[in-house]
Amino acid sequence: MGMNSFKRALWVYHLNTGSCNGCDIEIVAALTPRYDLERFGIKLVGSPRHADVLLVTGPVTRQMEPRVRRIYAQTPDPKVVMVIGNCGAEGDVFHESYNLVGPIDQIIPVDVYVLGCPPRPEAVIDGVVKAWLKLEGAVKVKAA
Amino acid sequence: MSTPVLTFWAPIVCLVALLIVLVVAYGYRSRGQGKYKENTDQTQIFLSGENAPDESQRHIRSHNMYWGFFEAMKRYYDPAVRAHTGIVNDYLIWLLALAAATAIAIFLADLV
Repeated sequence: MGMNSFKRALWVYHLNTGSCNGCDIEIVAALTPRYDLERFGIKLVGSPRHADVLLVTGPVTRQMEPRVRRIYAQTPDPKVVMVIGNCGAEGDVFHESYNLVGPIDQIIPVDVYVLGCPPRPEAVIDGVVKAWLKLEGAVKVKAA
Repeated sequence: MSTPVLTFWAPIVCLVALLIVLVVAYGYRSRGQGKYKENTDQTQIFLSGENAPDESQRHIRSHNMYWGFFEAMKRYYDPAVRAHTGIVNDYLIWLLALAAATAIAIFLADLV
C-alpha cells in the first residue's frame, strides 16, 4: 500500500440500494477501532455533495434506480464509484428477481468492485485504497 | 478602588482583525472545488436522492415544525380550535360568560 498516495482525506458517501445490510455492517466494521479507517482520513459523510467516493451496496431495486442516478449526478467530480458485495456486482441470489434493475454498473459507471457476501473489512479497505489510487490518477490527468 | 480593565476598544485593531479574517476566509474558499457542473443535479439540493421540489413548495411552515407539540397537546387544542369560530358574536358571548363567572366567583369569595 503506497502511503504516498494518501495526500488528502477521502470522504465517502455510502448508498444502500436494497442491500440485506450484510455489506453495510462490514463497512461499519472497517471504521471500528480494530481496522480504524479514519486514521487515514477516510470517513463516511452524510451527503454526496461532500464525497469523493460513492460506496454502493445492494442489487438496485426498481424504486432506487432514479435515486441512484440522481445521487451519482450530485456527487462532484472527480469521483470514484465502489461496489461492495456480490449483489451490486452481479445480483447474487437475487439476480432473477422481478424487482431489480441492477447490477449497479447497468445504472452508473463503476470503478472498483469488492466481491464477497459480504466482503471482509480487509477487502473493503483494499478496495478503498484502489479507489484512492484511481482518484489520484484522475486528479493528475485532470490537472495535466 | 477601580476594577481592572480586561477589555479595550480600538477601532483600528478591530478593522485589521476583520481584514485578516476576510483574507483567511477568501483563501479557504478559493481552495474549494469550483468545477461543478451548472444547471445539473450537482447544483440541486440533496434530499436523500429524492427529486427536490420547486422552490415554492419547499417552504416548511412553523405549523409543520410544531407537529409533535400539537399532537401531544391535541386534547387541549381540538376543543380550543373548535371554540375559535371566527364569528365576533361568539367571542362576545365568551367574554360575557367569563365576566359573569368571574363576577360570581368574586361575589362568592367575598361571602366566605
